[in-house]
Amino acid sequence: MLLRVFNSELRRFPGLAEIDTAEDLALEFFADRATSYVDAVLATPDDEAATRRTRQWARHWLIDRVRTTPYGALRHRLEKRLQRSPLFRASAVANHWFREGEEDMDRVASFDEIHTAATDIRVDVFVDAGGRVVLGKTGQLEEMLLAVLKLSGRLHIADLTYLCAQRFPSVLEDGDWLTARHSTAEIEDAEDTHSNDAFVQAVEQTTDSRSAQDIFALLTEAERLALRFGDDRREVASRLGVGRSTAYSRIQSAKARLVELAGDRTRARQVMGDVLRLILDDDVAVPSIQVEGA
Amino acid sequence: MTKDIEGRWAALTAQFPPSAPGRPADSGDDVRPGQVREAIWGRCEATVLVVGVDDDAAEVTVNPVSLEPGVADVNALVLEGEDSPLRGRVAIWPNVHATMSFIVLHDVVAELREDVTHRVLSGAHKTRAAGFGHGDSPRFGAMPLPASGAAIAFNRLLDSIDELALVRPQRSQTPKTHQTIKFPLSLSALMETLGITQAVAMSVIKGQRELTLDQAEAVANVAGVPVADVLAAARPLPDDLERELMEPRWRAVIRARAGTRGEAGAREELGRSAFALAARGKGSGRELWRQRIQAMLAAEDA
Repeated sequence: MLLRVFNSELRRFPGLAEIDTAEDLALEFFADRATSYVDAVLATPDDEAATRRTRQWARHWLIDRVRTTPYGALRHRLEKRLQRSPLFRASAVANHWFREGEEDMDRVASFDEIHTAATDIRVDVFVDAGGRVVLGKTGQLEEMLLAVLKLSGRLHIADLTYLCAQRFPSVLEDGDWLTARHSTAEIEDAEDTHSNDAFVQAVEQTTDSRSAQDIFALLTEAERLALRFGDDRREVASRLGVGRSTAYSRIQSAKARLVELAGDRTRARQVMGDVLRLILDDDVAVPSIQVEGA
Repeated sequence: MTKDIEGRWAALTAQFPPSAPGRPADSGDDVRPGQVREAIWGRCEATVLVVGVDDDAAEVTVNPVSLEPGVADVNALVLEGEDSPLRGRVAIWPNVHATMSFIVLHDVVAELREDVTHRVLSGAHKTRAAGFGHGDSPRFGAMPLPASGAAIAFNRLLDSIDELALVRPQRSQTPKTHQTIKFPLSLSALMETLGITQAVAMSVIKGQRELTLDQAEAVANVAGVPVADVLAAARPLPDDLERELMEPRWRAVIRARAGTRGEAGAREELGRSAFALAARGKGSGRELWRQRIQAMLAAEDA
């Protein structure tokens, strides 16, 4: 049954199917989760429910598997960037970083406060001539990290990676507009990719002037719907054909995507009205949209 | 499948004998706090921890449970090692409560140790979720990243809990589910046989008025059917029997018999069968009905 499920689920993950067989992935999944998986399947009342649960667990595992490479790449590139910049220093505590010239200590701040600080700083995300995702023009990402560390004090690289993954959701998603041209979703930093090439300059200019129309075009149908009815979780749930909890999650993700595309929170607020007008003009009142992973 | 893969499967699966520790041998247990149960309705299912029981209303208060590795957040209590009633870890969200009808509950998956149950219910159990995969956050604890497998699993769990909490039984007094067994005489034949008015005969056929045993025997003679069938068709099920049928101990039987007509119909039919069997029996009460249903099912299996 497990093999049958993996054979079927793997069709949703073409990137993985190119490098792994269903048999190998099923084996790896079983080796990874066997104890809990056996518990969970034995808990189900019949074969149909057992298959349904297996399918869900396999899909969750495959989603994370797809995101492992870009997440690891993000952490690696962040570390490189911190090491290279004179603005940051490695803490006496392993894997922690703090602002040069400040004390190597923790400060009290909630995740929400730190995340807000990160979204307040303008960081333009774009794809360079080589199809690589670039997090910010020169100095933008550093400025964001400085703002974060000012509030949090020293921070573990895992926290910084997590924060950036929240701030730049496209980086982890396979096949979206940012990573579609790069199967391993390698994350390049601006210094590596900012040659003087005319294409990059053109891209930067495009990013600067990314209009509500551009942002609208980059949003998925489900994201537009989540933004349109963002104040009404039940409406989003009903229109997307999902539960309230999933709907809430979709709304939050759509808002995060909007901030990412607009560059920062202030700009996202400014374009939100325009984007909503475009959404209404586009009449997205689709009765029900089934989204992957629903 | 290549021989190499077959060998790896064999080595892996050999570690897992088919029985699960912590799973009570008797799944006919009464519903009580501390039980981890499956809740299922249609294609919607969730694992839940029973934290409160309203026996009169046949409802439970539950917390969501996930057995899936990595599915946890800062609000989750994770039972591992000796504290876990299963082989793997069990994540519980004590801050999320839902009320569900007994009719969505299935078998007991496991039962927490009494001391662990007490600690969970009293909020004294402080084992928090460990970090996981992409969302490891040494400073802020476990927080599944949006769109990660763990976040999707958690949302799905809460959505299922929401949906399961909406399910309520259709009682057989309602016109919709009553009278799954057709009354064996027509209205006019019943009026003639018992010498009763049309209104009274109508209420008998609708199951709104009981027949005496003598009347039922008279109808049975005319219709040529067993008297128990007449009684079963003409009387609403006793409350105690209806209540007993909501116990999860009968759920597997009801689901197996449901087919396309749904569980309400299968539950009603099971009740009617037990009721017919008990037509001449004396006594009432849930314990007695439980024994009668058990006896009836045992007779069917024999």
